[in-house]
Amino acid sequence: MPASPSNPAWFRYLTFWRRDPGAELDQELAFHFEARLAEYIAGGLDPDAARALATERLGNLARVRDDCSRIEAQYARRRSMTDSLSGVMGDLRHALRQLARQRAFAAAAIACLVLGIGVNTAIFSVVDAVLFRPLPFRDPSRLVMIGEALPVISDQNMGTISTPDFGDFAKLNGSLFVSSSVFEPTSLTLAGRGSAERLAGLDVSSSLFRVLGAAPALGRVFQDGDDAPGSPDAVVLSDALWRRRFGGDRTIVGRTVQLDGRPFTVLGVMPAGFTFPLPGLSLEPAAFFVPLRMTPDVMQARGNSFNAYMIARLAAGVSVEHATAAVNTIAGRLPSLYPTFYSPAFRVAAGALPLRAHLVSDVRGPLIVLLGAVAFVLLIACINVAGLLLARAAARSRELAVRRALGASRGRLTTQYLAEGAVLAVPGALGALALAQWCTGALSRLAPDGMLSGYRIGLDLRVLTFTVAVTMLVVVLFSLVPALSGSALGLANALRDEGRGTSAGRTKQRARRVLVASEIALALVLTTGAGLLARSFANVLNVDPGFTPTHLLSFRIAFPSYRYPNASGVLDAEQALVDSLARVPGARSATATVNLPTLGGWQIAFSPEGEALPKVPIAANFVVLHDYFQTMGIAVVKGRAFDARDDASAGNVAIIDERLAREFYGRKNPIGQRLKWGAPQSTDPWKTIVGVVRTVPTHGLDQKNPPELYFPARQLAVDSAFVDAALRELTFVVRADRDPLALTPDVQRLVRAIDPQLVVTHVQSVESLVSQSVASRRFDLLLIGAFAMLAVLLAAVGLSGLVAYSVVQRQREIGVRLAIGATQKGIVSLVLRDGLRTAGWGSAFGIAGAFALTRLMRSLLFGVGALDATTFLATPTILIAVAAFASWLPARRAARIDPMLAIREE
Amino acid sequence: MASESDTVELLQGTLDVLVLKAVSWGPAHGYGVARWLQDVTDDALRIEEGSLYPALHRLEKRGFVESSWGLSENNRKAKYYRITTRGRQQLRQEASSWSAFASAVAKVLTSTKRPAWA
Repeated sequence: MPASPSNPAWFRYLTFWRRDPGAELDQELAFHFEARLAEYIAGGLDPDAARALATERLGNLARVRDDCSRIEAQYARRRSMTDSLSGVMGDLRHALRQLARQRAFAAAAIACLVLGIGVNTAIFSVVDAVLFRPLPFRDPSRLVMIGEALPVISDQNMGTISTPDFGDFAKLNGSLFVSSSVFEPTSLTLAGRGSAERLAGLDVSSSLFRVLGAAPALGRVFQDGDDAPGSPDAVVLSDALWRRRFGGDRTIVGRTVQLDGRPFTVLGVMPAGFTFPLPGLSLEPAAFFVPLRMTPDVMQARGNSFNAYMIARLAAGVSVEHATAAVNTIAGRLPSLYPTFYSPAFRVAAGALPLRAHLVSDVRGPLIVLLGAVAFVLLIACINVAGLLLARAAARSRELAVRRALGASRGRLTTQYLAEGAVLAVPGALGALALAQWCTGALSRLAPDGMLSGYRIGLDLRVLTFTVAVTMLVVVLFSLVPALSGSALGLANALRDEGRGTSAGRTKQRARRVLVASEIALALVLTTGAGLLARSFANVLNVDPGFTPTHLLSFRIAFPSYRYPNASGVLDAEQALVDSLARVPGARSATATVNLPTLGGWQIAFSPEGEALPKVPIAANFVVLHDYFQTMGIAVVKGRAFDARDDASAGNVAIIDERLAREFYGRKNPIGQRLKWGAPQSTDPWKTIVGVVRTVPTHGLDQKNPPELYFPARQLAVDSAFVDAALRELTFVVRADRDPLALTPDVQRLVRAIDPQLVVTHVQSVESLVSQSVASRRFDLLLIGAFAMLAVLLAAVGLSGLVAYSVVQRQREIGVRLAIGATQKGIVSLVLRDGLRTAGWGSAFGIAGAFALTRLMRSLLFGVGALDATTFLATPTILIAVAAFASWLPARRAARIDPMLAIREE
Repeated sequence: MASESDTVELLQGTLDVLVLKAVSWGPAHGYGVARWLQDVTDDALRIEEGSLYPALHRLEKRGFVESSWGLSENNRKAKYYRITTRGRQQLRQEASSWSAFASAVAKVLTSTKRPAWA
């Protein structure tokens, strides 16, 4: 009775078709019936009776079949799940085997993915850190900056306020604002162990840390009352200063440090992650925080200087528009509340700006363009992989057709494509992460000063999520292309198609041609963008700076009030220093100024005499010592430069630049005309124009620069804390006859000899300053250019692969052509035409795409239109040339085909 | 309706244990199981033999028996069922609870203790 423990091999074939459990049951029942029948007959019954008895004994077979099929159905669903899982595993194994066989294909596809996903991850990590990740403060979306505007000058919100006005805006605390704070850049000399050091820091209202929700790492931050006039001097240190200057000493809290000759008690130390102010405000990161006190001196600056930054936290339910309306109402009342500071005609407006939007307003455009550019690179990389898969699908179309014929469903084949995609994507994504890690490091180093510092850029969970999402999207994209084109292809068609070598895979070849053409179109759009940026950059470099930046050394020295109590003493010391600097070996001349070209700086409103202007104009305010024009190499076009005669006792004089002369005096001779600071009603003394000089780029070569005014420092009325501070920290410039930085040691020695408490900071050649002013433009060009090159390379590889493949497919046809007398040259041109036709279509669509898209980068262009004809002609030419080369490589191989071999090979 | 399906459940469950016990002796086809049950009970149960097959299939789905096609004593193709390890565990459990049930019923039916109300 027992069966053999193991079934004979052939029995497995009986169980192979497990399609019909019903048939199996019938077989079982038939065996049962026959065995019973045989038993009864052997027992002596006649066949008819035996049959009736056996039937009765078996019972209701219909119910038995019913029960069995119900059991079958009940378990079928569970089994189908495990079945499809094992199907996927099988697909993955199959895909791995396929790839192991085709290493070159796998390497090419994975390289495309690494490049595409890698650069996307890197750029995304930057964009995410700057634009998307919440700012490192508590509930940052509720923070706004309050800025004032003076409509008589411009309706533009300055983003800053006049310090005393803070008290008025802060009246909204408890209603529209939860709290509000104000801060102002400052610098102080730190003395003590080691040499004296000049540090950039912030004067802050005691509420700042509370508004930001920032807690100290050590000690405490300011509390209410710490900024009251007469309160003891106290300081909160940044982590960077604490580590660098105090060696991370944890007992620092409660001790005193000497700042500008006064003892300050250290209240606390901020944590390492607290970088403030954030980039985007063009302020240096603060090394320390000291209380901003509303002293009578500070209150005098109302309406005069607008250098304070105000951050407020909105109360729940208060919108930015709501806050803007409220601060604007308060600003509107300022002139009538403070008539001594704001003349009644001087209307004041104000508005609230969301903090994030305000900080990133300069970098948002370039970053979005960069993100778009890398998306294009990714798309091209995907298309390349899709093209490779498609080519392979064409080579495998017989296999696929056979599988279809054997009953593999469309869905089943699609799953297989997805599995193959996944097998490529996983190593691609891992490689991409490594590449991105390297790229983010390189980006942080390459980025212009202040663009990315203060942001935490790197691979974190958010970036990883992005990479995984992009990879999955990519797999679906490039896996479905061959799957769809595969199913579009009729089954019989595929079998027939593959049967004849001459017309093989034509249908799939067409799909691939479309893909390669779109690659070329995408690459062309990117190249056009890069071309426009390159033209812009060249235009910027061609801008005449109006001065000679080479051989100029610049540095800053502050003359603190604890050493130089009165303002005229400061100017004497500064003039004496300039005179000594000019005698340093290697120096030709020296000067000092409040503003330096390309660095922006002090701006003032001014009024030319006798003109009623619709708006009070503003100008860059260059307050300089004499010898400024000679040292800087700024040509005097008309009149004279300042000299030693222009001191406090002489009549007030001014020098204007050519643009101001053109805009405000036209054909009139400006020499002898008069102008003054402020609005026409201001009580400032008239100043007589004595000269006109060449225009320099105040904010930078590519910036919209204001007209320029020059005044001798000696004639400036030091009537406010702001003017006093400005004159105490001048930028000194030395013209050298050699590498200017070589003069630095002598300069340092000279300054130390004059006063060891003076600190030389910001030592730089003026040439490098000018170069820094175009750094962000260079950065954008570098990245977009690199991406465009990558795109062209990928597209060229795609095209070359397409043409090479079609040469293999048409080998027999080419053989026939050669045999019946076609020349090698003819074959080359035949194949070249093939490649160039695809490139031509791609270029046509690319030009259309560029036409539509380059306008989005208009804000990044300089001196060139978004539809610049030169660029729009040059880039397709370059792309066609690259396409010709990419097609020529396989064309040359085609021409060398041996006709006899080609024809025989079938 | 509910009571009727309860009866079927009970019968099915009982049949399952009997079938498991039958195949616990060694691999057997449905007919073999039927013959063995007939022999050991002296045909007292008079099982409708067709219903053995749903029981066997259910046991197979639940992983208590495995099946494979083999040759019968007289060289006919037949499906053999073999008990699995899980099937043996199940059989032990079912057998002990069935014994407990049967002895409880027997105790009731053989009891001589008069109830309080009588």
